[in-house]
Amino acid sequence: MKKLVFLTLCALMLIAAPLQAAAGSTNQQLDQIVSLHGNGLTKEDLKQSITELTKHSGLSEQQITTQILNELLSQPEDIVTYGSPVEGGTIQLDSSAKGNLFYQPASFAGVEHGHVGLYYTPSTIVESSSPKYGVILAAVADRKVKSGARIMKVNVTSTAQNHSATEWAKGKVGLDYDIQFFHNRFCNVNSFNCSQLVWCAFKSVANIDLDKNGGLGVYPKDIRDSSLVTTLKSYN
Amino acid sequence: MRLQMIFQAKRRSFRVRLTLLIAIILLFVTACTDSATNKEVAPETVKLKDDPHAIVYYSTDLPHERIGDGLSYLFLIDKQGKYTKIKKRGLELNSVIPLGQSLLLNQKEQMLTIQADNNIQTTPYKEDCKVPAGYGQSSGELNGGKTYYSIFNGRFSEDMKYYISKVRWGDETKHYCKDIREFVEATGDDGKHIYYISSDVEDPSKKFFHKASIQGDQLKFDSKTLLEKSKEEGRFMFTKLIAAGDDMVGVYADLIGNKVELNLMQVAKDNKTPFKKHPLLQYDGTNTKYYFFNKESIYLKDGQVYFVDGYGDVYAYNLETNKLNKKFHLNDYQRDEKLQDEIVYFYNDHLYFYHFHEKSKSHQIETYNLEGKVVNTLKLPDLKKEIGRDSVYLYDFKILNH
Repeated sequence: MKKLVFLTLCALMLIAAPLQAAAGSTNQQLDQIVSLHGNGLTKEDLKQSITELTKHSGLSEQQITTQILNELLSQPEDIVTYGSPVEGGTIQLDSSAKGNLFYQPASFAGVEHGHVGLYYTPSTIVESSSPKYGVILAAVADRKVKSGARIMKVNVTSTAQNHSATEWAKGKVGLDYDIQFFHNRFCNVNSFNCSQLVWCAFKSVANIDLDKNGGLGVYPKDIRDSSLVTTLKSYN
Repeated sequence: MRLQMIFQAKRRSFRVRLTLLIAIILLFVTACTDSATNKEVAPETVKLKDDPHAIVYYSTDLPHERIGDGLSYLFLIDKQGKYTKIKKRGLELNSVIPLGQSLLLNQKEQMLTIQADNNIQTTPYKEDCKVPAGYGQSSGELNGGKTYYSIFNGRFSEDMKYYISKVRWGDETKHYCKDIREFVEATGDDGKHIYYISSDVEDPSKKFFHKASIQGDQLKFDSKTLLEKSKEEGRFMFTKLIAAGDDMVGVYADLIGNKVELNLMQVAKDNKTPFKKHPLLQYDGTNTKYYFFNKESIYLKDGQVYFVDGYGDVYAYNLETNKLNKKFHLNDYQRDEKLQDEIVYFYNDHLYFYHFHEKSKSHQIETYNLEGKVVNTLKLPDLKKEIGRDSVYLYDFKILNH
């Protein structure tokens, strides 16, 4: 009887230990993301956001966690120079003509992925803003950017095409923000991240590919560094 | 001897099993404790040192939110410069609303009420009341300070026929929301009604003037009338709309080539007559230094509209004589390419200027009377450290008492 009790307890321990180990693995991933984020992200915040993202993306929490971490590790191009606007000031974004582009540094999980959008009017911009809220308009006067931001124009399109591209972008409602930057060169969809929106606008209207290096995914920096794009203003 | 060896063996075996049993118990207790802790939500209390004299609000902006995170810092500052920090989720272009004895802070999915007894109450919103960002100090109080409202920037409608903004309103205990089918460029109120200017989605040069009212749980759209079809290339609504008798006034800029015309808009509340456009100043449009710090940089006193431009110049425009008078310049301030948290607030016939003072490497609040005399400087040397490495932007500053 004593042996039976002992064996039962050992069996329970053998079951509990791997579960704890699996939870530990996910916890390690969360800790790794939080430690690299640098924007005050807490583990609880991250968990809550991942839970919410599962509802929008259809992916499991483990898949999203792994994806966020992989995305972080797969883009070691620039390491964010941590200097908050409170330390180094901010720079007011300028107005620009309809159809022009803007790029601004925007970091996540310690890596500067960047952010792009289009000028809808000289005083408003259209962009795919965030995971939940998709394509929005924003006032240029409310947008502050950091060193490294740019205003650009596509140098192979006409003014009319630029305007049409902006109208195309304006017409795309991001029902869900597509967190899959690494595989986003699709335009007949209902979810757009920021670079996908801009890329699709010019691909659909003028059949040009603003992705500097092709491949499966188009990132903000791929558009920024494209030879088809000219920088009109750099913010230093 | 043999019996003694058997007894000792049994004792060792017992100790091993007991040790394993204790380890197993500890393992499960630890797991259960974690679960229990996650379920408990203790009421939150902040320790305010004194009644706050001023508040400052910082938040992550939308482009920095990849997974809907973001954070915010709300500083409650007393007259001695001591402060309490409240760290919460971010909401771009948010503003804090003083209401009665409480302070209201909108979050994306809930309302926080910071009460006079130092408790923070949280009221969650349903899905249709969730918001992504504000419009820049687009909040206010109505009905003698008993009702608040906030207007938020939403998104395009699915069929692209209109833009969706959202109004939240209520009091300290009841909260409501409703969609506005407009892209809002400027907001304001006269204590009784909400006024806002929108631009048409199809033709952004068309501007409309709206009037709305709140009655309990009802938001009523009283009127929408065409303001003008602007011929200019771009328009910036730099300030809120404030009441001036039977009119609402606000400051805006029109881009004309490389030049900028700054004007005062005077709109009759019923908008039955064409609005008056009062030319104020001209700026060089090749840089952004003229951009105003914030929307609440406008004030009315004795028929004069005071405003602060991006260069730190304070002006007063007389609505009767139609004369513009430069009153003073913010002390020791020079507009630079990189902003240093500049934000202003008019309260009780004084102008308050919160900014990071580059020479002293410290944030501070300067108090001016309307003639430009500095009556107080409140230094906040440690505030920068509280934010640390977080990338947050300054969105609101208010004085709560003189």
